[in-house]
Amino acid sequence: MREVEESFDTTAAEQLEVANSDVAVVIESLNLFYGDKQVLKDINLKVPKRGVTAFIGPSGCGKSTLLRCFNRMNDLVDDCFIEGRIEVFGHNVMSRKTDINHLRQQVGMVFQRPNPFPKSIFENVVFGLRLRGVKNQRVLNDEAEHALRLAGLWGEVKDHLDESALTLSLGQQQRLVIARAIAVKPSILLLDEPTSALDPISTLTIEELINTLKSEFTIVIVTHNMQQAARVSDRTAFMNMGALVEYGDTNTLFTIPKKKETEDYITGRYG
Amino acid sequence: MSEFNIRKHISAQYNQDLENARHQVLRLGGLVEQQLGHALTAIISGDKVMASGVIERHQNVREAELSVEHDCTRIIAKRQPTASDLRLLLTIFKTITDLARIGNEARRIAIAVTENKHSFVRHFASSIESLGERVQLILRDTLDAFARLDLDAGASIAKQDKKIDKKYQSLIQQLTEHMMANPKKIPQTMDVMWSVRSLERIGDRCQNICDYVVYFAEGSNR
Repeated sequence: MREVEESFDTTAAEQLEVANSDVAVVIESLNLFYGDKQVLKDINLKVPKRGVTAFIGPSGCGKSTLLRCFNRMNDLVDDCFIEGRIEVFGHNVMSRKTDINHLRQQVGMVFQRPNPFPKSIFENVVFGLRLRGVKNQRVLNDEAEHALRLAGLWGEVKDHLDESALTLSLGQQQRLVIARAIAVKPSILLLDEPTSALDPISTLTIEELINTLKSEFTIVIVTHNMQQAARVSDRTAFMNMGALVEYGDTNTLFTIPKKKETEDYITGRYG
Repeated sequence: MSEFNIRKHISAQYNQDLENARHQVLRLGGLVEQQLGHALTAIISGDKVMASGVIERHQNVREAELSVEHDCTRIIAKRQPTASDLRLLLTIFKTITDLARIGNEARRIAIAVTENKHSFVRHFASSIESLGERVQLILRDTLDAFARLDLDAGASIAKQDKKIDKKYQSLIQQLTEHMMANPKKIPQTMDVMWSVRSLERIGDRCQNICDYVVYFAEGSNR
């Protein structure tokens, strides 16, 4: 009988081996507290460049919180205290000197519900570029087309670019939001439950989009849908009660998980 | 993975579905065991009525195999199993294929009996009986190993299979000598040889099933 480890000892988390030259994000000894409550416990993790890394785990396990550490979205939460080290392409993002705007341009994020601005489709896509001071209309046009093409939305909206983004379906809005995120050319794209508000067909369209974007961007996705993690990701991290339990190649994790907690979670057993 | 673990899903229906699939494999195994027993009696005694019964009941084996296959397909479609659940279903899929083929071998022997090809089998009756007993034993032990998910059974099954191979070789030697001495009887002797070969193949299939049990429990083959 295969030995299945039962320990919740976080230091013993099964880890993915990543060569230093291939690393996009390094997280070391990360502890995060909301007030007195510890939400992340000694997380150590390396996210390789490009490809898709998925975070799975039960509600409240800290996966979204961990994702929000990548571009310091937790700064917006009162009472949040973080210790440890987070490096994005070699830069310590926890440093006070970090330019948050630059960080968030480099690490884009898409949320559960599409949040287009109440502006035209075109203005949504070029919003970040305008903020960065790009004024040349030809550049804006080209970049908007490029981002919409990458997001697989160009064919559907090219004749209605001046219409309000709110006229699009939810699935189209989510792809528009992804286009808006990639228009500023981030290196990393964080997707926090990007399809949980979408119907199955729109979900598949987004998954296909993730698949095409992964050769160009480092994508980190948080999802409740385990089958989605299995379908779209190259690597999966399973978290439970604030700790990283197992992190490895998706094919292995979904067929021969090393830890009992992982096995119990992905097969729908009570531990 | 113990039986207890199979029953630990949050969904009681899922537990029930996996349990049923596993029990159906054992039911199929029981049917195949019975078919083999009857085919052996038929070949040794030349009982054509019993052989016809084996041929008729082969449909039951086929139906049992299809029923497990259907249930496993439904579980995969509805539950998207992962990890040990997925491995259990793959193990079941492969096991029923081997069991059905064992059933086929029994049918093949029975057909040869009804076609009167074994009229002179009495020369070799005791050797065939002795080989048959070993084959029945290995099948029983294999089904037992599957029921108990016994990973260590593989070694003893491999030993048993070696003994079967030895007996098979010696029987083939006897049949070859018989053919050399009686060239006119070559066609009939060849028919007996095919039946003996069928029995020998069953040992190999039993070894396969033991390998699947190891794959289920450990996620890899030894």
